[in-house]
Amino acid sequence: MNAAMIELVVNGEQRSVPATTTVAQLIEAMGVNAATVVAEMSGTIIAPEQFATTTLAAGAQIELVRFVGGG
Amino acid sequence: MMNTKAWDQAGVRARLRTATVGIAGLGGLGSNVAVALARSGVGRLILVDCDRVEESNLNRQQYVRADVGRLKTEALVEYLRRIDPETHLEAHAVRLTPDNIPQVFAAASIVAECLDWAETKAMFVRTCLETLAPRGVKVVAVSGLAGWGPANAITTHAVSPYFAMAGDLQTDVRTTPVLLASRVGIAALHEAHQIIRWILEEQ
Repeated sequence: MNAAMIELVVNGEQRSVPATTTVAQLIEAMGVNAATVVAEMSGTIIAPEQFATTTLAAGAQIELVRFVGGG
Repeated sequence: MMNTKAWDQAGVRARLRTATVGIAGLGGLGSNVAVALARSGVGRLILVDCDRVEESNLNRQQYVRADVGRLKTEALVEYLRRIDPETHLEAHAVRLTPDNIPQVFAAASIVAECLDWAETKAMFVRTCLETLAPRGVKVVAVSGLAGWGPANAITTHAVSPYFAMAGDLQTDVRTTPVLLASRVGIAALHEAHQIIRWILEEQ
């Protein structure tokens, strides 16, 4: 039996993910280094140390802003 | 949105005079942002960088050969004073950390992320959104300015009403180790222009 799915919005796009998905897993699925990402869930900034323990909430608005180098 | 205020050039300058803007990093992004804002008449700039000018900076940063070896804060303050002696300048030759960011930028209503490395950029923006945004401070940051890709791939977009991102969002200097005055300058002026728009559109 598959885990129940939840609906949420990631960077403005509707997504369906297993209910137990963490911020870390979402970032990993994007294939980027977590240290270069600013993550916001429904207006709250998530600290990188909490990526692995923060579970995505149904209906959440997630912003994952990824930085590349150069300045 | 187009604002309806009937300001002329002098009116815009007078409005910009009232603003305080923080600039984190005075390299290719920050030195160009600072010059654009000083020329536009922004009243007060908080300039932060702990590095010294190197010869390799001269291809895109607002320094000259005689500045090599000087603190960037010192060289840039001298240049900005020659542009407009009325600009109030506050310089900090410190390395930014989550602990000192809130106090260094305490007086700013807008801050510009102008740092080098992806991890440092993310740390800075995270700290600003956590500690400064709750009291109304806006943040503009850049991701993706390396290489010689199209100028028009660099855009500004609003992540939220208090957070804007400029850049092509992709081209990493680690994999494309080329930084050009033209493309870095375009990204810097996207930041400067977003800052000016925020100041002019404030109630």
